Amino acid sequence: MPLYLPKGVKPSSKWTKRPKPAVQPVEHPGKKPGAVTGSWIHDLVALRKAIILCWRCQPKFDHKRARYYKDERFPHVIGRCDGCKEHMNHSTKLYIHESFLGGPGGQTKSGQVWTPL
Amino acid sequence: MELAYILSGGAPFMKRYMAGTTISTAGIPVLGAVDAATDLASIEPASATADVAIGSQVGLAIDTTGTVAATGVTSDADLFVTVIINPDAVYRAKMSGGTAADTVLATTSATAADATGATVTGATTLDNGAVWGYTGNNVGSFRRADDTAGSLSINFVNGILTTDTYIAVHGFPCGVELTSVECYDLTTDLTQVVAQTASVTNNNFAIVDMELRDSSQSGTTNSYVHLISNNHLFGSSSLA
Repeated sequence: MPLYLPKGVKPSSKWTKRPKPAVQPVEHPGKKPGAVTGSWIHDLVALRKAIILCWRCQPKFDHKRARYYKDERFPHVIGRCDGCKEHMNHSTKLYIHESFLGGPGGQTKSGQVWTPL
Repeated sequence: MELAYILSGGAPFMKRYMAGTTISTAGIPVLGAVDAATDLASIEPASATADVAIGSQVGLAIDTTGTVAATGVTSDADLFVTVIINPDAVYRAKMSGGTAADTVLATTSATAADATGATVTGATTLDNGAVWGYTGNNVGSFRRADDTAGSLSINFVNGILTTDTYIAVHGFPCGVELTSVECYDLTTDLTQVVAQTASVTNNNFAIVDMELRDSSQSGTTNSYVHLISNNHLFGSSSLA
């Protein structure tokens, strides 16, 4: 049974705040604090970066208009959502820019990773 | 090169890493950057032919970076590339007949018929490599070649005719030499494997499976190999 206390009340001197998770130094931090999520996603689109979105953020991204394909070969991927920055191991989809897709007939060209979906 | 499947059955794990050198092609294997003098951050493209350092493979890059340099970088996001980092990820790479990507695989034929199906006489085969029927009597079958050119470890069920054509490549599923793991060199753009040249100088990948296609499926330009990293950086710590 969780113990609910008013904010700022400390039951005893031995209680401490739960430490924040350590910052991952090598992974890109994503959008900067205070930045608009949509603006950050547009930056990624302009750079043709792979985009990972959780189930909450997927409806907000018009991937066809951005000329992205949703990778449907796997039910989900594991990673941090580029929208809300939440790390999820389910319900997360990968979007690939169309320039990295193969040509007609499923033939992958040099430098292109994904066959058409 | 693309992700085929994950051995453990899980989902691909994506990480966005800062590239130590410019990565201009998607779908290439990447290594942990080992040399601070030339590699400025986390990862770098794999070598096409050299044996990688033990425990240095990081995964498969699925997008590209802008120009990575010590000075003059203007976009923070453009330094990063998304990498599939599962140690048990299996990659699907197209077989190329040469060091340039999309080189057509060469076919070979027997100069004399063999009713026993044991020898493709006069054919060019590679030691411990795969041989499969491209046209003719043995379409749909494949065998492992042995040390002698044209000689197969196990005979084809049907006899070999001089009118048959075969494709012979380096490597065989789970193929292991006594002294090394059979592996492939990569094409110069790192997206495909050089399939018809023997390579025993690197152990970068092990062969999980092969897609060996005949003439009805344009097998000379449409055959693939499934590879798994032998020296993954996270392999020892991520797999039980």
